[in-house]
Amino acid sequence: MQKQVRNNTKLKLIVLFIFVLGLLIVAALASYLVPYDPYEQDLNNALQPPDRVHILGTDRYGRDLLSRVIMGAQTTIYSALFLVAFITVIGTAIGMVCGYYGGILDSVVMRIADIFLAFPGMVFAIAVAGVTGGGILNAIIALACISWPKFARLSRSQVIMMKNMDYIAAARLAGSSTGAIMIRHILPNIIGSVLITAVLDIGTMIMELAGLSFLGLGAASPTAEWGSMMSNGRSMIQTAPWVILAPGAAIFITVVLFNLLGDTVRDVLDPKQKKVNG
Amino acid sequence: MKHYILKRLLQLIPILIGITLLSFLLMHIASADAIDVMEQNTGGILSEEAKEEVRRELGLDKPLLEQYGIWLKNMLTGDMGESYISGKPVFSTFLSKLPATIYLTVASILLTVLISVPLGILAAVKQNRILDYIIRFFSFIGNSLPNFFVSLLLIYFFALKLQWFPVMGNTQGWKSIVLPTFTLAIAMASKYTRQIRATVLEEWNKDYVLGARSRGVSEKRILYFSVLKASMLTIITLLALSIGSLLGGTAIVESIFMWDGVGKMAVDAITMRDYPVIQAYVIWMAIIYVMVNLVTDIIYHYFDPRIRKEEC
Repeated sequence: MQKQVRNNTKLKLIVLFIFVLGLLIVAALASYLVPYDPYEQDLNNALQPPDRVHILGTDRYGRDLLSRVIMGAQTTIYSALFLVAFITVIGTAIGMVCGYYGGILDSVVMRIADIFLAFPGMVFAIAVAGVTGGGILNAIIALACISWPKFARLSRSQVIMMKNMDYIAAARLAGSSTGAIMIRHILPNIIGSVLITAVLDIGTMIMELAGLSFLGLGAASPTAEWGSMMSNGRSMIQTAPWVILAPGAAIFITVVLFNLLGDTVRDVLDPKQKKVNG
Repeated sequence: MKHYILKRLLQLIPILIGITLLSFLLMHIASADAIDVMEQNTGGILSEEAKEEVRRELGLDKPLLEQYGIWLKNMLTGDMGESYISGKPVFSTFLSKLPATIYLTVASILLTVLISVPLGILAAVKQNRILDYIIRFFSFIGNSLPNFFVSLLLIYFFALKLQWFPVMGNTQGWKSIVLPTFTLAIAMASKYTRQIRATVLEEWNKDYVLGARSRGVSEKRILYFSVLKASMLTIITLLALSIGSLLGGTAIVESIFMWDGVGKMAVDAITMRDYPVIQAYVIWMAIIYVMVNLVTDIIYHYFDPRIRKEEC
């Protein structure tokens, strides 16, 4: 019975992984897959409702929405993935070093982390993006500022738990350098929980990046990005709701996929949690 | 207890210094940029003397730490400068917009509690039954919808199609708060329902529950008198922690619904590069958030017998 459940979870993970991979490939090859040029304006065909020619309709400049949604996948998904990868690596590295060495360095860095955690997330991101003047890179920096402490704290607490264990002492006695101990002996033991947190974070980051773009603080027009596409469609919500629905549904489906993947990764790597979280 | 509160207040000092210093540095970067903006606006090249003049006016020629000191002193006396756009004092503008945001935040928290506490407990009690799956399904969906999409969907269906509620503004009494409140509460309640379910289940699986059950105590009695009572503290703490994301969320939701609070004020200020207003917003939102967390910790400390015992 138990084995059956585990096999089902693994199967689910594989299926979800294939879906996500498919999405990533579509996003990567966006410029070859789009049926129309996502940037070409055709004012005679502006705000066309979905039909056979334009499956998702057109926006106010007559640009094909399907092409823009596919192109936007590239901007939105890869920015979020880059952001999560960046904060995972940086945060985990900082946390591991702090946890391993402790002392002044640890106190100072953790106080800095506390300060970033003291800001309500999006509030600080809005301010950073606002001050730096927007742009997708600045939005990524803004979100990175508020998100790295989570990974630093996570890996730090795990390292502290682990560094006094016998096998670490054994490795040290066997002459392993500190770097080797951290990378070969500690990292493999904490990578699971770091990975769970990272994958579960992707969906949130997609939503927050799109949120910043929606406010005009991320990708700027005319770049195809889901958040800014929705922002542009706002004023036409009554006459042309499809302009909002297309990118909105794209965000929703992508976030659902990544969240499902995150939940499943957690179930596979950390079966203890499953009992409680379902 | 007194000892604990004092300790927490002392711990607050470096955090507050950090918050103000970070916000100060952010705006420092921005105001260095402000001179460039000015240069562009005058349509040509400002002479070095003119630039120096501006820097002196803004106090930018002094050492950084001294600038921070002066600025902090002004801030503590309620002087956070004037808006570049309206020319009005920033702090009083912030104060005048704050009630609208608090009103929206409190309404959202109430709605969140009303939705998620019963649903979370119900899902836990009916674990792995059809009702549990339905509740989890909807909380999963709510968790995957960005709040700007939710608000646009609500506007489309309930304001434009059904015309039950106004599209924007906070002028139509209780009707105008319904849609923004639901937008914020849907995201929050989705997350929170899951957390409550997990908390109650964790408690439900503890040994004392098994003990009570074997002594013949009814399931209802165990639920109401032991499990829920023990879970309440965690539930309240989790709610307080989620206020952070709520405060951030209000910025987007307020600007979509034209709700005249501090979130909309900040977003408008960003569009117009009105740095003093952004600064006031960041600092005060952070301070409010830190204070909420502090009060939660103290309440938690006060009510949790396990922690209290350790102290004595």
